[in-house]
Amino acid sequence: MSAQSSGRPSLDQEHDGNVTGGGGGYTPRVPHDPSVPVLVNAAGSRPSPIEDLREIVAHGHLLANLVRRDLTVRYKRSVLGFLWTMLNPLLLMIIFTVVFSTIFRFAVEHYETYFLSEYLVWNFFAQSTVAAMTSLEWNGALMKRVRVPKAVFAVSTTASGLANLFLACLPLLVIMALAGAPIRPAMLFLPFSFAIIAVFTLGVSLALSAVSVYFDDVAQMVQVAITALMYLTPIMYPMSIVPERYQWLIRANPLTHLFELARQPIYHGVLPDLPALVLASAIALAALLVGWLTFRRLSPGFYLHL
Amino acid sequence: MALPAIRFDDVTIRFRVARRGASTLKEWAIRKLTSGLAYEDREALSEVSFELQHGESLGVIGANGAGKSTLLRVAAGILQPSGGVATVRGRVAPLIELGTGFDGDLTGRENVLFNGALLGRSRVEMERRFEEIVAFSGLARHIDAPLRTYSTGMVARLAFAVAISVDAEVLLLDEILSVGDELFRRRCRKRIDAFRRAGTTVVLVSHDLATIERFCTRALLLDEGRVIASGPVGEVVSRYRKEIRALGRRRGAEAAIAAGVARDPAWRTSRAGVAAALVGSVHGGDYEPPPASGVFGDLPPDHPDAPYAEELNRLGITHGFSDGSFRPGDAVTRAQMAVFVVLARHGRGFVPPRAEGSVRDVPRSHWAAAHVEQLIRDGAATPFDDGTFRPDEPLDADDLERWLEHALE
Repeated sequence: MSAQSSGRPSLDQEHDGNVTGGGGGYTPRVPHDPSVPVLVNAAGSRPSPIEDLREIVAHGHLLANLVRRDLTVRYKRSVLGFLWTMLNPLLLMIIFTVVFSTIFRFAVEHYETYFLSEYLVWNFFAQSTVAAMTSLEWNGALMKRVRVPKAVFAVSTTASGLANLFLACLPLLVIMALAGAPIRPAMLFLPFSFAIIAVFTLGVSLALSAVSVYFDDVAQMVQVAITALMYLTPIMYPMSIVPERYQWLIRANPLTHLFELARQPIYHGVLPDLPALVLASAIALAALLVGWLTFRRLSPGFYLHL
Repeated sequence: MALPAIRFDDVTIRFRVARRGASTLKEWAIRKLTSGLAYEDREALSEVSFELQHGESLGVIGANGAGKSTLLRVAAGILQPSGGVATVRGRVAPLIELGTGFDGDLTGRENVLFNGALLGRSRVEMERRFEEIVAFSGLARHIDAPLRTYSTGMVARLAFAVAISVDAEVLLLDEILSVGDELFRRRCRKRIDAFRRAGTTVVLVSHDLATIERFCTRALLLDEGRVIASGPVGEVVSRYRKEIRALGRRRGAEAAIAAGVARDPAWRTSRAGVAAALVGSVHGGDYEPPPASGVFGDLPPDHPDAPYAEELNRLGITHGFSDGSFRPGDAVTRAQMAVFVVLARHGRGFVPPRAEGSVRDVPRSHWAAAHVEQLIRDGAATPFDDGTFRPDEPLDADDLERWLEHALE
């Protein structure tokens, strides 16, 4: 048998698509035609990381469609819908600003910018991981029907979240301008910051979504953990108010380091320094690796649990 | 030698099923610590091998849970085998569980494009095919309305139209020819015929044996994940029909007979036991006769054997004795059983040709001679080695099984 074995079922060649009219004037190619894609579905074969990646890239069109569907549904095809989704962070921002600048009185200049600079990325992280879990569950039936790389769903929720994050920068700029906070060129670094945070988010999404397929209570536990994490990250308070002996706890939280990548350019108007950048990137890549390995190990069992 | 379009080599799909598992993480942690987790392996497919040449069409048949859909999913690359290799040459169009993956909030148009993407089609290809898909579905007027305004049948039609609008070398069809109204079904069948004429390889899973016979050149019969029969469609389908009846017989006999045998093992070959077995054979499956009305003097309506005896009476297989009794406890003689089986096989009112006296101890004057000879002609029974039939001896349980098996083919 001359079939090239290529790991997990993978279409070795792309369809050339030069024929028209299904079943009409179309003549199916014979199996020994070299342009025919060959699917080798063999036991025990595990795709290499490269093959995993290639499969996701090959499904780029699906990815784009998943993201488009997410955004279409979320923004309900209207400008009003878009504004509506901005209302939630806006209201929260007002509440926090009022509470912390009048009652607790942190000595933080432009508190709204301080808070929003991290709250936006926090929101991205929290919503994307939760969405990844529900997405995998909702699309379970789909995975039994067509051959899709299962990781596509976590990638798509992270990608939609990222799109929303970029969109959320618009009201941020408006608020900063209204509040008279300086808008500085360092903000042009944000796409890189967001990319690193997105890598981390994808890693966490992959791991959590895979585990939550197996266990019903994971999604609820994650909700609780996410609320706890929000207070363990200096999003709404400055590090200086934390008593010295508890500060290690905040520093041990990887989110603290990741979110700094957003606060430095937005609030402080400077680029993150190199050690901070290296540390955050290392955390993000480690998360992606752990997430990907977890997903890879658990995904063959999805069929039974979805 | 030509390469096959589809080739399965000892494909096995094994599932680890929890006997005592955990559906929550808490439960799992506790069970893990107390070693209270228990799993067992189950095989949905066991060493399935077959080859399908380019342009052939294969029907996959078998009972629910036999592994038909699993086989299709392995061919589509959705499920990875636990053992063996499946090789498919050509672009695959899977028509499995159509309609999942359709989103009620999106319009028909958006759903078409989204599903095209799911099936791995490029955007350009979908745009090129769009008009054709809409035309085939017959939903042009609704295509920009949200999908939640569609009826189930409309969604199914759209799903089928998307899935079928492809130039595929291999078409995988899972019970999809029961979609939509008759007109649409006819259009689907025509489309599949067009594919077949063009030389597309087709694998069709269906419970409808007539559909299988109409579309397929070959068939594969699965039972509990194993290939029971494989070959030309006519042979495999008739073998399956036989097996369904055998299954029905076993079940009918079980349901009706278990209670009787529990009361008394000899009941099995009594007239009451034989009545239950025959009714199960004729009607098959889980057939339960209507409540009894007390036709026979010695079987009051509330007697457990009465419904079966009366059903036998309705079927014209026996009307009891001239005194209006059924004598349910009497042992059935071989001659009596010969009459029952011949009538059950050939239908009510059947009159066998006059006896020739060809069986040594059944003279032409014997009351059941014609039926005994017919039974032997049918191949259901053979005389003993010494050429005798021993018509007036009681029937034994083995003969009962064997005769029923043959007689109702």
